[in-house]
Amino acid sequence: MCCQPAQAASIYGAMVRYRINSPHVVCQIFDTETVAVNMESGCYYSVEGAGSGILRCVESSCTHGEILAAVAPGDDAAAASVEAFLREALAEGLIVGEECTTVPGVEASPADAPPTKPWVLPRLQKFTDMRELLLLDPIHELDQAGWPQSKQP
Amino acid sequence: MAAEQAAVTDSGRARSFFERAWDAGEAAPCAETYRIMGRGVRIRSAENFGFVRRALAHLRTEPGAAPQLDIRSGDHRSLVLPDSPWRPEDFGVRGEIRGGNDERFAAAYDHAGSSLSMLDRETGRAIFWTRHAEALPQAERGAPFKTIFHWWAEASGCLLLHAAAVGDGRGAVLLVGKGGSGKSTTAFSCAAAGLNYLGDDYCAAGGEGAPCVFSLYGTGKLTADSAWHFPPAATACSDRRAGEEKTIFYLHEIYPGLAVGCLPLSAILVPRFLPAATTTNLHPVPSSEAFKALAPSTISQLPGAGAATFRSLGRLVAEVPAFELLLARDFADMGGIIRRFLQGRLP
Repeated sequence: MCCQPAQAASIYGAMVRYRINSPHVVCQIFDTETVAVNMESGCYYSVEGAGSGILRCVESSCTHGEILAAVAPGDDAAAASVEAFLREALAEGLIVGEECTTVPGVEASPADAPPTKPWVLPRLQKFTDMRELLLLDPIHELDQAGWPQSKQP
Repeated sequence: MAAEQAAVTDSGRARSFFERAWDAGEAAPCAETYRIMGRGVRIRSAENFGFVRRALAHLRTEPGAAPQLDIRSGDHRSLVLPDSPWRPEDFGVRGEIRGGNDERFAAAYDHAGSSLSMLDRETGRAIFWTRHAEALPQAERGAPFKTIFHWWAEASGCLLLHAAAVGDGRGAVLLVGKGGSGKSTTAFSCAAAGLNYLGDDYCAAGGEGAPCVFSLYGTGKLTADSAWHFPPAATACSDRRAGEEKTIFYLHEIYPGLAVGCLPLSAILVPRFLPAATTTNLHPVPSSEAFKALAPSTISQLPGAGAATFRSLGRLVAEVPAFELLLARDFADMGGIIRRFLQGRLP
């Protein structure tokens, strides 16, 4: 299987395969909610509704088409909300889309993704209150022995 | 191949540095033994590291068998650190030192406290060095060596948590949430009501079978407005320096006999102030609410914490019920509410 970073124009192609943007992003899935942290941006997220099912598919490295088939089969309105969710997750750096240039030898299975019934819109809520703690600026000024030191003692 | 050579070089560099720093810490005059997370810990420190001995006093034991963790600590006067083997760009944003961490060694540099922590997991030895002990920020004085304890806990199946913990003979509750959410006030209220105290900001959890909560520090921090509600604190010998918003209190000195080392974990509470409420109350919430209050603030404060810590926190949270603790403006009865909860009479 050969994948390349997907271009924005083709991000919704059926052969775009998604994955969690690890190691920068970690997720924990609960019954009704998924919590994700982006260690690079310092933000954390609450994912509710069909969003947890979508992320389960992403964890299984599903393609765009496989996610739609698993989470919003035959429902154009639901498919549109799934695509909006994927777009938002991509913009937040939670997931990465890679365009497959060759047909995969083994298709990833979305079987682990439980169907979300009744349908609940996927929702991504962003929290920024931990940014300062997660992203402390290092001080690169070193003393004579090579150890970082504050500019103001 | 180049990457493999670099890794070998980094590992050898870390080991060489650690051994020289370890030898430099041998002369520290104060040596005490503690029981932390159920195991023996020996801490050798300089005389101006009294904040360490005071924060851990409730866990002190008589010297016994060989310690499972041996820490040597000091500042530039008592522990002359070898020159840094790392480049400026190796010091990362959360304190991680690139090239200082592998399966055996963990290393981090705290920029706020100008302090180096390093653990040799294989031999159970650690070093803590700071430039000036007197200049350590309140966060380190109130919770000394927490980075070392974090690494050591993970190596033995435990987790260091950003949480307060109180309880009684039946069990303990964790109080989770970011700073200002009510953890310390609730913990002080519970101690004032005679409940056992395991920490107001950091503790550990884990162990074999049902999880236990382990006390790390006998300290607690309060603002002047909050401390006013606890008369014994007004006359206690505390620690506050110019410019610091909160004061460090030593609860084992204010409420003798209530600080304990370990209790079984019963539940996780997410405190939230409700100024309009007349009585403190609690109600069940999904585990994800407790996780959101616990996990981001915990991993953001621990160098090297990432996916593994995140998942371990998820497993811990799923093991016990979670509740939201709605705190009324008058928190005089918080201790009574928690006591009744532990007795199974609430909610």
